[in-house]
Amino acid sequence: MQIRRIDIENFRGIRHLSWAIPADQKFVALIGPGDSTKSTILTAIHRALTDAWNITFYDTDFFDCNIEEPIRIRVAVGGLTADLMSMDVFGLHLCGITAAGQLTHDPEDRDEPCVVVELTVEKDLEPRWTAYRPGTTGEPHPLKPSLRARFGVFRIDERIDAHLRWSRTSALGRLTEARHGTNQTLAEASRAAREAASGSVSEALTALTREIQAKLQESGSGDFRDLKPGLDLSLNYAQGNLALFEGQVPLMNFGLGSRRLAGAATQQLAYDGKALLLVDEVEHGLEPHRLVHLLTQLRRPQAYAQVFVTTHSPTALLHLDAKELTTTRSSGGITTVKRLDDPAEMQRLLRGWPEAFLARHIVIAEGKTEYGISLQLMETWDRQRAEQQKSPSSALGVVAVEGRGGNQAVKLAQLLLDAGFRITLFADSDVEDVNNKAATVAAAGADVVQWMGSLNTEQAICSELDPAGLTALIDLAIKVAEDPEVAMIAYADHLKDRGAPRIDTVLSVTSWKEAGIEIDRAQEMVAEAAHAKGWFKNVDRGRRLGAFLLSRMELEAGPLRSALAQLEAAVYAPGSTVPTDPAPIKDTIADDRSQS
Amino acid sequence: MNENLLTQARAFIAALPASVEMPAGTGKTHLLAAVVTELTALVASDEPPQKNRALVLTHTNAGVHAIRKRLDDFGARATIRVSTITSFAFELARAYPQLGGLEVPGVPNWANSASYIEAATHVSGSGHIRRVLEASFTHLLVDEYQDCTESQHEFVLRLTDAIPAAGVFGDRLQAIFGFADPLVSWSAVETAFPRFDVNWTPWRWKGHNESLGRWLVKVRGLLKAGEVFDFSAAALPDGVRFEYGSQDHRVLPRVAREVGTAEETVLILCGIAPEMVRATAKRLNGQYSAMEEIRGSYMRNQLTVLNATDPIRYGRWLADVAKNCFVGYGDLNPPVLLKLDKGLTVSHLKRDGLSETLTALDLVATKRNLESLAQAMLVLARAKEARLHSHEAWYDMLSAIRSASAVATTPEDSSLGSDSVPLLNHLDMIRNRLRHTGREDRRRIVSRTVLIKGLEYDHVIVANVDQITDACNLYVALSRARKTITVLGSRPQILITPTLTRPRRDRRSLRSCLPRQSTPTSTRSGE
Repeated sequence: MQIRRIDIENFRGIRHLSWAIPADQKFVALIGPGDSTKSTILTAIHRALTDAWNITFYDTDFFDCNIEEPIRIRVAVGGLTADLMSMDVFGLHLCGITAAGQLTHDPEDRDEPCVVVELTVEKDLEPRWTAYRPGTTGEPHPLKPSLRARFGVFRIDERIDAHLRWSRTSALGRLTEARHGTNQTLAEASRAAREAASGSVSEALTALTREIQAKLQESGSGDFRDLKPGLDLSLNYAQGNLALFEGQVPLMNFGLGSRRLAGAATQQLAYDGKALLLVDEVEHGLEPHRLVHLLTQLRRPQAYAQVFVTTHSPTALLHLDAKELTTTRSSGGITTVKRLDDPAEMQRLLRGWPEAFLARHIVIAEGKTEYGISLQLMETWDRQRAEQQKSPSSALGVVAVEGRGGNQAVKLAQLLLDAGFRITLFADSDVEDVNNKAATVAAAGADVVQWMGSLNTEQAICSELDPAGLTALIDLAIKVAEDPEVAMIAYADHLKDRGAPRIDTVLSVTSWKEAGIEIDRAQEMVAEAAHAKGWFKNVDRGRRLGAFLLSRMELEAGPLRSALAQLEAAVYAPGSTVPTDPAPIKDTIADDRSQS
Repeated sequence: MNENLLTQARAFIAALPASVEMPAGTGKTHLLAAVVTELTALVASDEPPQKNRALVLTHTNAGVHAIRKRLDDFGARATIRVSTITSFAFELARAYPQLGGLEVPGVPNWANSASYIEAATHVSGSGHIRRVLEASFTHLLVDEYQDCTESQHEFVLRLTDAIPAAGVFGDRLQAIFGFADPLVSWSAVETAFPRFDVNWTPWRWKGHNESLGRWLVKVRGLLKAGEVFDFSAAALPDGVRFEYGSQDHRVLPRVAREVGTAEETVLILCGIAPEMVRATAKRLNGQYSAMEEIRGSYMRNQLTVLNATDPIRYGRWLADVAKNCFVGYGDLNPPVLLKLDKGLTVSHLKRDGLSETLTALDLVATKRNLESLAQAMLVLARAKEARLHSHEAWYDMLSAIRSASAVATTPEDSSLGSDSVPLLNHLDMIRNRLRHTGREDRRRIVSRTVLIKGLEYDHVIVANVDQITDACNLYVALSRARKTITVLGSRPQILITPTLTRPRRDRRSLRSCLPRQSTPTSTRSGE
């Protein structure tokens, strides 16, 4: 069982969302900047599929607080097991869903059968759950809580404590019912709770608690050794005052992370791997090692029917596959979600720069040198902006990453652009093929910053330096080398090999003129040596080079500095100038009716 | 459940797919219920293990209730779905209009049953719906299979694609063709569901008239088209007698009066023609009540007339219908009717013993709306100034009119415009309810064979055997009785005619309705 499609209208920050989820996606990590409505999507799924009898809606749950436009949440659940296909469950209310995620009224043989839960809330604020089928007229079929309970949807959020008590709707309550059949056990347990002071807890419940203990160990929730049901005196109401205790300490008193893990573990037990789990901020309350362990648990194929998480944690991303990531973007109430494409390319970036996926705006620097330059420049610009009380790049959600060469960089730029990120590509311009692709990316909405003319970075720099500048550059290269003494000899050779005068003072370009080498030849030779021998080809050296570029007076008015100014403008451009891309939105939001 | 029944049920379950043919009153439905009870107590080969889930289909809602009751008696109700074939088909067709190729309304129109069956056959052929059926049921059992039309048979066969463990129960001698579609032949049934032989006992007559039960089994071999069945020559059991009566109008009322005690049930069977039922009930002076066909054509016609009637003339409509449904309203004669035609009051006219009736008619003439019409109908039924013989028709029309008037909000609205049909909608709702709740129990009934299939009565009177000469109709008529049968006719020798299985214009319509011992068609023996 898994969710195959989600449509949301007028719910909180979402005026419209249509999201078709591929059949193979069992683990979905929603990533995106703040206010991209990730959590709202989880809330919408939960409200549509919950087995709660009633949910209180407020005017503020409507988009723009406009209660005239009804809230409509549709969740299509496919991969139905035989028990859900039965006529007394969903057997008479099936839709079809095409491979492209379009719904059809009847499931044709080529489509997958699914049931679509529609939750609507009109201005009377009464939620109504029905089985939606496109093109149906007349009274839709209501879906009772008992039917919705078959989805086993479970949300781990700040209200997790309720699930560590025994009550009708809690994970513990459900688990007890699943294991021992009726409400009988629960009633007995509640009775037992009253007598818990005298230690009369039923055998069934004790056995169950041992099972939970084993599961909690496995989930990494904590090292529990004496888990047992106990009376929670903090609550007055009759049901649900039986809670899970470790020794004398109620589990509610444990850390948030432990409690969240415990909730997930009991739910998994209760639904025997058939639960739909929703975890908002999966990293919440967990140390990195426990987060990693939890992710491993959640992604085990048999653990849950499907898992949706949101995350802001680079640690989490570091341990996920690119194809498990779905970006969310919200603009003017239109939420767009896109699964990341081409895992191989993305995967590398994900491992190297997980934080980039959490940004709005990614600056892709072509190589290590350019990456170092960008970092240095952004640091400097941030400092200058701070003095003027302007937001630094981090506040704008800008992250720089390294593109590993021109071809990979443009490819990455295209992929990330498609995934909904704002992209600035910072690349040199000496390879024609890369230039062409960069132009395509630019046309698709990326900011592309390249050197004027067909120059690599070293050429671009050297071509504007006078002999003193060139000398300073060589000095810098030697200074940032691993072993400057060795570098001094080696770099001299690099230069001589490229036609520099065979003199002792070869490292001082000011002395070349006497040897009959004109400035433009000198610029070419230094650039060639620096480029070919990778004098600045590492991030740290790139940073130093960046500082150098800002410090040289002779560069001030040249094309290089104007390219850097272009980069600065792109990095700090206000978000509203983000080119909206209507084409992919139209792609995702397809009208069901156009199908039939 | 006794040991013998249990053994038989288990053997049948093991033999599925299979068919059982059993005469009337020999415990067919009992065996079906035993089979269902036994198999749903077993665990299916599901993962995780689940109990067997049975789909039980029959033709009428009366049948549904009979089966449910027996299942209750056996204490087996969980995981069993009992339905009529058409309502099960309706449900599938309604749910999947694209797969079925038919847009089906929310409220079934049973006049379109055949189209629901066809659509449901398409729906069941879809791979996904097959999975739905597989997930829903482990076993399929169909009662009264002889009543299946060819297209219903087709539908059942499609269901067995998903639910191969299927068993059908029937009796080819009780196959009465009632509608437009041809009935399935029993040899086709036995091709799909190999014959399973059981020993049967004439249960229906135990403690009533066991010799009648034995005789009814014996006559099965004698009811062959082209042969003469002789009510005077055959060794008739106690309780079965023939009277010359079809020419003499006094005989039937006398016999009708004599037969049965006040507590016993008596059924009078007329010929095939529908209008004979009310005419006969009228002749019997209100002692017997006319059974209406499920669709309620009579009420439908009258309400259609009412719908087109100017509210001024509601009184006239009431008087006309009352004269149809009561005996003893001869005094509602032209002087009264002409006044009612003009919407004038009539209570000043002197009519002995009809004062309440006339007052009620006045009410309708002065307050010309459906509400007062319904009120007046109730007065007529309660006043007993004449004798009601069409209870079912009268009370259904009363309910339909009352419901229609309750929906209308203002007095002006409660008189109907010519284009509105709420009356008919309300009637349909009432008749549909009847399909589910069964008919009200009346002890003395006039009906036709096609309406009383599956029902049983203490006494049966065949009003005119000259009109029921075909093997199946005659067998159904005779086998309804537990205690006595009185056959009236012009002579005791009956030339048995073939039973229709399809519309008359169809040349294939004649088939000899023979019990299986002498069926010439090749049938697979139940090895």
